[in-house]
Amino acid sequence: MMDRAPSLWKKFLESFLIAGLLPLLGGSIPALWLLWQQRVEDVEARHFTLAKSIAFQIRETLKAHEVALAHMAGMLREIEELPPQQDSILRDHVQALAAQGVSIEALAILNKDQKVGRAYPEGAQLFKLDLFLRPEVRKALETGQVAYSRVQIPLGFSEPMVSIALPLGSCTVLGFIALDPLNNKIQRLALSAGEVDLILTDATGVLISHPDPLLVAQRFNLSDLPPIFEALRNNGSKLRYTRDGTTWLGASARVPELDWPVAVVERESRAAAFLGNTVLSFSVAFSGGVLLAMILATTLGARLLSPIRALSSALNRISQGNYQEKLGSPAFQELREFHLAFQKMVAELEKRESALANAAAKWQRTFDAVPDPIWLLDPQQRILRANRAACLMLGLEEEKLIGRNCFQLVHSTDAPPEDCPHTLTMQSAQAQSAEQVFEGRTLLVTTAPLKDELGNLSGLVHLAKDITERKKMEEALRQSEERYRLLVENAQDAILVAQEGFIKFVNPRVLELVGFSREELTTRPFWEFISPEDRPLVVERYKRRLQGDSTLPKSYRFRVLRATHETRWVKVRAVPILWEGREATLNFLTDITERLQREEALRQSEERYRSLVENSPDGIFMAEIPSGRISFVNNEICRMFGYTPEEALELDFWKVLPSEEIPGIRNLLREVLDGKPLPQGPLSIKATRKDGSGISLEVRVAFVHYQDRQVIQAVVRDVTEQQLLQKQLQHSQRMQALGTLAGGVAHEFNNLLASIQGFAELLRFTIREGQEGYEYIQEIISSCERAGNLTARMLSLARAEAGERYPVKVNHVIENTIKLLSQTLPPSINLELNLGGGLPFVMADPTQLEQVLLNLALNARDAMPNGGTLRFVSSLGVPEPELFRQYPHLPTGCFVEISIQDEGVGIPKEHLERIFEPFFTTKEAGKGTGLGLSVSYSIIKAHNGFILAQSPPPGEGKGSLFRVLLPPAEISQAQQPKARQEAIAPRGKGERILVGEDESRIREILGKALQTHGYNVETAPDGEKAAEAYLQAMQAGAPFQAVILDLAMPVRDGKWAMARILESDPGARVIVATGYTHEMHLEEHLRQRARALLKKPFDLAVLLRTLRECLEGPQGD
Amino acid sequence: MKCKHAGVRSFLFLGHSVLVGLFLGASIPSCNSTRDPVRIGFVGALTGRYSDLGVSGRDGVILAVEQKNRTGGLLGRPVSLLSKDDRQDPEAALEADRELLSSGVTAIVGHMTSAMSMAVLPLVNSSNTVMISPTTASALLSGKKDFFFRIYEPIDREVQSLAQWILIQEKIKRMGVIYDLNNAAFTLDYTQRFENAYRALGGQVLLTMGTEASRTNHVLRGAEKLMDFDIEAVLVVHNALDTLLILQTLRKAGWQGTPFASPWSMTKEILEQGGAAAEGLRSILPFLPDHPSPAYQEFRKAFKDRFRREPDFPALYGYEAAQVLFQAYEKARAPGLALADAILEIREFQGLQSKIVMDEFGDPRREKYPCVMRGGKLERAS
Repeated sequence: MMDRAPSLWKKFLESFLIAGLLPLLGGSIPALWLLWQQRVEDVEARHFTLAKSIAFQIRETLKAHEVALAHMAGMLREIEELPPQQDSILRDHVQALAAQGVSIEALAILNKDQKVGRAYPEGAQLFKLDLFLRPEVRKALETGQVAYSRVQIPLGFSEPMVSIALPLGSCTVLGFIALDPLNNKIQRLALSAGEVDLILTDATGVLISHPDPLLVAQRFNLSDLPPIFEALRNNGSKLRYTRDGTTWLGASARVPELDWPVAVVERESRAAAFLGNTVLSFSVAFSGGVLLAMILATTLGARLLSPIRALSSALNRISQGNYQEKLGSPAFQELREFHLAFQKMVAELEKRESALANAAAKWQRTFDAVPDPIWLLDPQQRILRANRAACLMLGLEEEKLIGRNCFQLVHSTDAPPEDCPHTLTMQSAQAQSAEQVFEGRTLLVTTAPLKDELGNLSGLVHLAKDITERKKMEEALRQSEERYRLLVENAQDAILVAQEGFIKFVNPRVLELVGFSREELTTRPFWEFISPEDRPLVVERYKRRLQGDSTLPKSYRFRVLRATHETRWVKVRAVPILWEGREATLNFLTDITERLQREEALRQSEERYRSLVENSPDGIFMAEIPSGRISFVNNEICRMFGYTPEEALELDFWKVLPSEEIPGIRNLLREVLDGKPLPQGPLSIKATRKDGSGISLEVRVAFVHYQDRQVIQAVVRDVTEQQLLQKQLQHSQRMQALGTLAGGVAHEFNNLLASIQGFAELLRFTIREGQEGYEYIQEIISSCERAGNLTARMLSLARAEAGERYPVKVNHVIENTIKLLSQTLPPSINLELNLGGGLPFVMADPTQLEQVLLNLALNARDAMPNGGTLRFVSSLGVPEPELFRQYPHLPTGCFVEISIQDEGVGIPKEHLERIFEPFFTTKEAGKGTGLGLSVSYSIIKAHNGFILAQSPPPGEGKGSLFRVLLPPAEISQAQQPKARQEAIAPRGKGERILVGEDESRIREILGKALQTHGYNVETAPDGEKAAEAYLQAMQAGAPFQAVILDLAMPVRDGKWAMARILESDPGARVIVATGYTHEMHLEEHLRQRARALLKKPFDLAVLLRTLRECLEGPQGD
Repeated sequence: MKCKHAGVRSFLFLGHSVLVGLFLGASIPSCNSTRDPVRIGFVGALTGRYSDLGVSGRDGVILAVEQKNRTGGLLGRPVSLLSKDDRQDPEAALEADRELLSSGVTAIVGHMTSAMSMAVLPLVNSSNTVMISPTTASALLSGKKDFFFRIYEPIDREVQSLAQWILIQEKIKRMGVIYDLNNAAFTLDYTQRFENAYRALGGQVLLTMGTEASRTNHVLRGAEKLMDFDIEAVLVVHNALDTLLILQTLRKAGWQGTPFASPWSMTKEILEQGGAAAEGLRSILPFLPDHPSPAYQEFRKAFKDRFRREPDFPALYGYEAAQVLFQAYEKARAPGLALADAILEIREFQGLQSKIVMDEFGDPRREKYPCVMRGGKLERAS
């Protein structure tokens, strides 16, 4: 195939076009380019002027801000004496300024003494800030010139601003300008300049003004923008640059007196718009030029091409063998040269023909040199050519052989034999071969077809090769192979050969193993017969074995797939071999499925027993006797004793036993070895952990043979905790019994006291003051009262009920206790308070809780006669693990903990277990009742809490630590506000309140508390005076709005006073305070008549809230 | 003849094309990128009080992208960066991420606070898009197999070191903690972990108080409340501006204790506006401003040349997050799951100051440094 050559005519046309249009393009494009350059220079010059002009206008705008700032500072100082109006006046002024484009958000006057003087707005946080540290303020102070900050979000604001520091007389004014309005004003400057973009940044390149306000708000840094970059580096310039695929024309300048760059930029494409018409004109001229060039090319082409075509016809004729063809002499010199080249080519062809004849002679010599007989036959099997060996074989010269039939010469027949390969080749046009015997020799006769130039069968080639010796060797080989085949076919192992991913050979045992047919096995890749899990392994090893990897194991195992989809485990031994001349592996497979199943069953059995022992909740171990060397331990033993399994196996059994246990155990072992039966039931033994701590055990022992030795096999149970729990239970029951006993005794004793006191009171009526015996009676009554207090405390042991409980902050309780304590503690005792923050509420009766803390604190005081530190700590947390070991009944979880620690004499260990028992005291007779701690114990227990004592405290050398653990309250959302509300003490509005209370201290406290909370208070020491005061006030026209009466008062009690007051003023608001909560009928009676009933002792906040509710309720029923 | 006319027409067309091509070639900037750019997104608070982290982080990513494009881009493709503002508002954060995803970004660098990262996590995972946060620190996001990765090591080790520093080295036993309620995903986690660690060592936290950073007065009242307690030190877990407000309030009231802050505060704002109030402020920082490593010094110079200020840790971490993304993309050559797998496959990235070694959930381990403010500069604490 000839390549398609370019058309000469088209080449002409192209040449004309180029020749015609190049001058046109050469002239027009430079002209357009020059025009464009002029335009760019104009635009750049205009932008540069514009940038400088806008920079000047920006400076003017900022100066307007400076002037406004100075003016506002003046206003601020002038109206300093009118703080409430100051903000509104200035706000109006700021709004007026904003309308003029001046936007000052805030300002502060910084006095010379480095303090912030006045500021706007009044509520701004400017007073709190270190404004003098700001760089612009420092610069203004140093230079006496106005200074600007960089763009930043100042403290106390949420949007980016710049600030101005303006020296003004003896002070400096600092103003904050929001960027958003400033940006709006600056962008308006660009609008008048057409479609250009105006960009202003601070001295670091952060945007102050940009057509996209979002970029300003996000504080984009455009210092890399070429015009900004130039203005930051040099003082501004004009330039052309490309950014994000768009070319821009820009110019920049700096704002006078500041370092802020201003850039004016415009898209180049917009500046180029004017070139559109020029390009259209140029396009029309170009099209005309193209047309003219084509006409010229057509005319010239016709004249040039005709002699070339004539030359072409002559050459065609020569190529058809007409060498005599003479070429006309062409008119053009170039074509004449072409003619001469052609003549030269004909001469070369003649030379090549001569070379061909030489080659034929060479071929004949080669033909004769072949040692095997060869002859060429025509289709009728007549000999055409015969080589020298053929002539020798047939005993005739070549000339005598030519034209004779080969079968006549070789077989001496008139027709070819039936299996003559000549005949077969002629029929099939394929090469054929056959073994024939000629004169006692075996010949391999091969015939091949000969074809003419058109591919038709024109004869054949006959080659006879003597293979007599080879046939003998083949027979010997066949017999050898037969022997090996018998060995392989009858082998016990499955034997196969794998090559190129396929099985090439299998023995019958393979077929039995997998159940597939031989054909299936040899036509599919061998890995299809391998279980998918093992395929990667087998294939990888197969490949590595073929690569000669000597590190592979000689044998390994995998699973094969049977035709029934079962899998069988086999062990394979493979060696690389050459199979049919190519690399392969010879594989011997042994079925090991049954063997593996037996091994697995044994392993599972062992695993079950091992799991039973390892996971047993009891410890199990074996130890040799009598050496005591431990030969087996389970996990539980390790956990129990704190050893790792390795450490445990190194142990001597006797070393974990305390010395006092060893003789007994040795005796027992000796007796058992002597034939005595083992004792029934478990043995109780004490042992020692790794950390040295003791452990109580129950041990069941058996004697067994293990690894051919007599060993003890022991099952061990840790009963330490159980014993501790029993001890705790016994303690708790003792406490309960003692409490009940104390309560019962106290009840009876109370009755006796009541009668003693009653009779003593009667005696006092008989024996008047001054008479003999009166003092004794007084002493009896006083003793009865003291005994009454004692029995009341004993009774509280038996009742052990908490009062009203509500969410309480323990820190408040501690603080109240501290207030009470501070008056009673000697100066030698320091109080230290560490109260945890964020503690949750606890549900408690705060009065009872205070009582507990007071008891503990007073004990601590007594324990420190020489002074020391008394430490209160509150916290939230989970008790440390050590505590759970000491107190197993302690529930897990979080507790609010109050701990009280002293540095006193401490509590002896033998007393620690008994200190919470009623009447247990170590104080001198008469100094302690032995009830304080037991009452505390009962109270905390009633609060579902725990009270624990440690002496000395952990990590300390002396003193005692009492820890009160209380569960955090699970306060629902509804309860929380209530709890907060309870803490709020509402204030009065100057109402007049009368307080009737006989106890002077309480009267004084109540009076002061109510006055502090906004009430006008008067007090009365008894019921009669209270009623009198109320009635007098009514008559005087200044009535009391409410009256608080103690129920138990001398002369006339509160009940009387209430009746008297209500008689005169049925609408009176009476609040009764009483401690007699157990008298139900009385309480009901009071509740009907009084507005409110307060149980003593009451929380002051409760009183204030109750009073407020009464006052805000309706007057009169 | 027909053929001839066709030839003439084609030549006319060729002539016009050459002419128009020549002209347009001279006037329109040529499109250099023959291939589409690789789009990556950045999202963080870019406006408002929380924007110090966002603006610095974005500047770090900008520098990384500009450098990448100068050296031939990502696998020969230019990188284009789309920035979005989440305004520290969960709704705005979701909207910003949706816009980025619909723009076809390959991956997102952001968000800059834990609260925002937690808000968008379901969206990011459902879109199978890799998000690499430079500064999300809360341990609540640890141990999750998802599309969220980060450069900042979760705070669990950091607070442990901080508690030891305060109690063992500084021997401070009574503290107050004040934290921001608006980024509670980080601040509450940080505060609680710190309190547990500090208490476990024997310290006492006398007051723990959450304030709303969006209300300046609320923050200031919180600071004043701290003065009611006898604390030797305060830990402030707020953004830089509010941390400064609190410190100035305490100092003005004459408080003499030792201030500590979470690294969240330690951005350029604290350096630029800190003044005397920030003097002595201590924090465990994820970077050292004067780290001598040549790679960091090279980055520091490039950053100062580009942004005319010193880099702070969000800027460094933004830069590193972008580098991790580039490295993973060059390995994976695809977004989505392949990109996430590539990050986990590489696991160990060379940061500018220390190695970033990720676990199988994409949570890194790396070095942190106790620092103190002296003379307006951050120095490594001795």
